[in-house]
Amino acid sequence: MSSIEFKSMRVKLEGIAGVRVYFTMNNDHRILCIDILNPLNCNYILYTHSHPRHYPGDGIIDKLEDKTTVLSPMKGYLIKPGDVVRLDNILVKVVDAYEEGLGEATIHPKGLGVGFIVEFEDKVTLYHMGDTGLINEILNLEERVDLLLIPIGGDGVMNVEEAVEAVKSLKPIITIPIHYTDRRFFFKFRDMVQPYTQVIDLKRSD
Amino acid sequence: MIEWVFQRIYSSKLITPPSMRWKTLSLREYANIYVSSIKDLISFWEKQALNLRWSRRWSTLFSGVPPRVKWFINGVINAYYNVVGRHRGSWVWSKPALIWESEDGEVKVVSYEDLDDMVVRVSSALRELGVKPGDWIILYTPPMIESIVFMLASVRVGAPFEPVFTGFGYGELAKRIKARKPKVVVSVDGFLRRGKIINSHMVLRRALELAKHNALNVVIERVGLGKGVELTFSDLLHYGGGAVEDYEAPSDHPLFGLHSAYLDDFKPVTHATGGYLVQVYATSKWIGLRPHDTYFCTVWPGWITGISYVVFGPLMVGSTVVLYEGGPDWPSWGRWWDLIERYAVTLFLTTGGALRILSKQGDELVRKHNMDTLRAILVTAEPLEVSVWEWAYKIVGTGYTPVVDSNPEELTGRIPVVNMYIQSEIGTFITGNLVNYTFPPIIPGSCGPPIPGFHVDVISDEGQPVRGVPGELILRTPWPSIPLEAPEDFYSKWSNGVYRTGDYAVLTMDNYVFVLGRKDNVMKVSGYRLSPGAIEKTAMMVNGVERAIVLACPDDLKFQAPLLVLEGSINPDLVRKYIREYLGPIAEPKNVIVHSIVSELPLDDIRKTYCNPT
Repeated sequence: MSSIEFKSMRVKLEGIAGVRVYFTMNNDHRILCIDILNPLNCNYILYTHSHPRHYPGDGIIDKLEDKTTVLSPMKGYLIKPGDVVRLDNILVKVVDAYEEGLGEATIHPKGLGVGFIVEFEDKVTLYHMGDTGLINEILNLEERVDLLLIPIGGDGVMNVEEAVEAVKSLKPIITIPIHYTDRRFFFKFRDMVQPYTQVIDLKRSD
Repeated sequence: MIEWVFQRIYSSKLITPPSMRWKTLSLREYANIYVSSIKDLISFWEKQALNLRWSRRWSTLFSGVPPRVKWFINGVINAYYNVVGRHRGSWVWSKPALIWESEDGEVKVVSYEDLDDMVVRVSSALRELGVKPGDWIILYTPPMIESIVFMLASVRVGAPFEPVFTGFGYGELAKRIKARKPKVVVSVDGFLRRGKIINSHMVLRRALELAKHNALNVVIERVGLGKGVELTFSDLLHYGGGAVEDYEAPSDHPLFGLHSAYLDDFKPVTHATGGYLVQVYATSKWIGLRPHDTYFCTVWPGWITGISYVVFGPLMVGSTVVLYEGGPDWPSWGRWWDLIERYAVTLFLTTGGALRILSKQGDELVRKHNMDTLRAILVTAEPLEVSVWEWAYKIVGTGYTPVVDSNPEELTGRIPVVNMYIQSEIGTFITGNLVNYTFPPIIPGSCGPPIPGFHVDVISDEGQPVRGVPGELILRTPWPSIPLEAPEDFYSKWSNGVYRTGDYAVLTMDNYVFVLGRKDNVMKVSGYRLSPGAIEKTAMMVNGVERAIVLACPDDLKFQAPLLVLEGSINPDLVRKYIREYLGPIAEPKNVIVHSIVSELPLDDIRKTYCNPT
């Protein structure tokens, strides 16, 4: 299936919100995986939260080789919003990802999950927002975002209108919508957001 | 032939697309703007020239006797700055300049900043390799980011380039190499077309041998077949070398060239830097391009539309250009619609021939795509039948979200479908409704009214202006991008300061142009302007062929199709195969007839017998 090459990274979608990022470090090919259910061949694995469409379960993680680095709020190297982790030559900034809401209606309460802003060796940045609503922490981010992976499905994450607001605030160069199943969401998002970024619908390999 | 065309393209309906409801000029308003532009063309184009940055302003705007005229005399212009460099420091700099999709679905994106970085590196390498201003560079590649980088790097060092369409075979490529004597030829180690690897690099090697010309060959690595080549694109990116300043070009410095089809052969036409850039920048903005646009043009650089409206115009404006490597029918005829949908394309430029074929693939294939981001569909290259225009307007253009008073359920149409006239020698569109300038109502089948700044007319054989009946399309005055170099065939088309385009047309009383096709035997096959003489010469190279004549037959799918009549003792399939390999698949005759003595055959009878459009 298709992948997109932009600056030093090549990005391939997998599953509802998973992504493999291929890049080169010191002439060595590396793979950074975020929310991948089958983390085969990944050098670095980042999980935003523990829900089953994002995280394969502890059993799979326990079977990974020791040299594979796992970052998540619940397994491996434990991280929380505000942390900055260096993985060899890449920098991972952990940011907030949650929904504002009350009680059990909130699928992603504060403290459950995170988002990741990954800065590669050449300063190119990829922002995987995780499962999040439109929260002030996102609107207040000052980081430059080159490639944004943004949830638009509205099922415990931003709906299309909220995602558009986030893009207008973040001003990414390229935006790839994730975390939706109804294609009409993509069309609505695309039509509203295109003047502020370049939307690309990347076909997923599931 | 012209009656056959006229029946298909003539219409008197005036259409105002819903999206242009409040932007459409009355015919009177259009006429006022147009007439005032051609009353003082010098001032008109001077104003447009001031939209570019000149390193030294011209001392005289225009001088000479047509067709031997020059524009912007003594002007000096940094072409690369005016195409890419102008965006440095603006928001455009970080946005995507090019999005490339391979036939197998891989995507590459480069920003204007990335593009500039690659161009600077490649141009520095070219200079290190001895490429000087005025040296030619020939490219034989499909649309790729790397080939655009090469064209811009050529511009940056003052080396004119000629991109050769990969639908041409080794013989035609050799002809262009012989004519330009390039210092560098750029090829790709192969590319995908309908799922198969096309080994275009081997075609280039064969052409170089035939041309007996030594040139440095730089190979773009695409499919991994280029092992052992002398120099690759990646080598140039990492070649090093000192910083090279942008070339400051005299206005009449050659910028690029093409081989244009004439009766007896394809011949070189070269455009000069100053006038061309003025004309292409102005028309690119007028046809609707803006920095916020994502734009997809299906015409490859290798034809004038592809050079003007893929390489130069959109980048000067700061738009994002979508490049697609492969066939429109791979894996299905929905591929272009898929690209428009997934990249949020806002402007789509294609040919009448392509729309004609697409219209025969079923409406469902189109309607299952959501192309609501489209603002306009631009069409060129050949006459556009009213039925095909209507199909594009309603089926492709209506979309799903209403605009003003469009009605998706009733397929009322929503955005403009604009047919435009262009010619290699002229460099840009010269007629058509302009989404960002003069937009009177559309008349389906027409190429719209003349674009301001181009004094277009239609005259009879006696040279008198005619309205409502066929005549020859002319330009009454030279245009800024008048060729710097052209064959005698071009100069012979001028008389009394008037340029005869060689195309039949009808000009209505309201100044709408209906182009009917070539007056001579030069052909338009699927939008490609082809030389019958070149096909005849190629056929004559096959042993056993004593004589060859090519006729242009009307064709329901391709507009015209070559009919080859041979004299001699020969297997027609062998001739067909030879033409396909030597001249290229785009020139393969539809029918080949072998006759004992061709000179005795009345050609009109042959045409009547064998040219039978259904």
